[in-house]
Amino acid sequence: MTGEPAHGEDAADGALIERWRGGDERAATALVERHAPALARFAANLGARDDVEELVQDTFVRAFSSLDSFRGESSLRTWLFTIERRLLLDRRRTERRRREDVGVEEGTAVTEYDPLDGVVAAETEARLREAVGRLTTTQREVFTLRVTEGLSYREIADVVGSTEGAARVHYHNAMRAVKEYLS
Amino acid sequence: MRDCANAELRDLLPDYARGRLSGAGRAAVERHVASCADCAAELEILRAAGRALGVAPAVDVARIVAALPPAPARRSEPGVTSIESRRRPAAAHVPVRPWARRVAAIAAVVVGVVGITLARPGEHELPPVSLPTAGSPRDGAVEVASADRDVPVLTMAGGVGDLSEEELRTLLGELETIDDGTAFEVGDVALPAVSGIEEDTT
Repeated sequence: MTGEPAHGEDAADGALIERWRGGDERAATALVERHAPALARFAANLGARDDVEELVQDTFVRAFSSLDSFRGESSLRTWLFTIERRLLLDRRRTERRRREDVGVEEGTAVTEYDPLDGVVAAETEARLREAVGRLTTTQREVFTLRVTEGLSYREIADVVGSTEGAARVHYHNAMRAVKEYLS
Repeated sequence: MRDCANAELRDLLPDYARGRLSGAGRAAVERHVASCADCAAELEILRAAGRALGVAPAVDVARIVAALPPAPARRSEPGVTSIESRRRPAAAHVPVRPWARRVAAIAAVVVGVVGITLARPGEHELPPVSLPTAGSPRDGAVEVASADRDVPVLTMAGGVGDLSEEELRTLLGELETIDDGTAFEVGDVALPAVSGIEEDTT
């Protein structure tokens, strides 16, 4: 269920991309099956709710529209995360403007984010979700990519547009904040 | 809960929690965690985070695949839908007004003439451009008006007017092929009559 990251699977992605470039549409299905769960999870952990599938679909549409020029300088999954994050940020900006237009008072990211939908199996996990929900947007992105998706700091830096060192600092700050909330 | 001072090993904890370490790295983390209460506690947090945040909402793979553009090698096959037609509607396409193509053609010629003139060795001055007077334009002259009131109207003698009907049509045809993928809006640009080009009323 976790959907293993691209580290050891770049070659498999590369082979599927080549097959797709050659006209094999089944390769597209295989690529979506490999990466859609991680994209859906990332979106949900960043606060997407009803529009998770739409966000994942838009990410793939955008990626496949330029996949024939993908050079593999980063892993495919890292590239997909980058696209999805930008789409999500664009939507948030649009939503923020819409709220401002209708005069709705905007809350902070902390109060807006409620990851406690559905049944939570254990109290620790529930509190952990709360703790992650209280992180800043960047801390939450970095924490999720490191802990849930297993990306390296270098890959995280590519996704969030920062440096490797900054990604490491964000992660450790996030972990410290989570610990403080849980203690 | 405190932070362990061994930053190098702490950095490996997420990978260890996900079972992605092997060999020496794995053994080193296990040894360290066995004697470090801070890292042991952090490891528990990471495992709990993996359970709490690791659930992926279900998505319809078939629906996503159906929305994807066709593979590059299949785009020229009959019956294969193009990328553009499969995409969701994006920003509204602004139609190009018929006379806008003409303005573009004239602008291209003016730019070309100016460019050629500037490219001549030893000549560094601007090409001769006559500012307009209230008089009527000469036969075959082309005027290009700007929407910017501060930019003067340029008059170019012997430009488009020197081209034959067939050359003009060829030029416009090529501009249309360039123009196909670009939506642009020409505002309230004053468009003077241009000799040598038939009025397009479509």
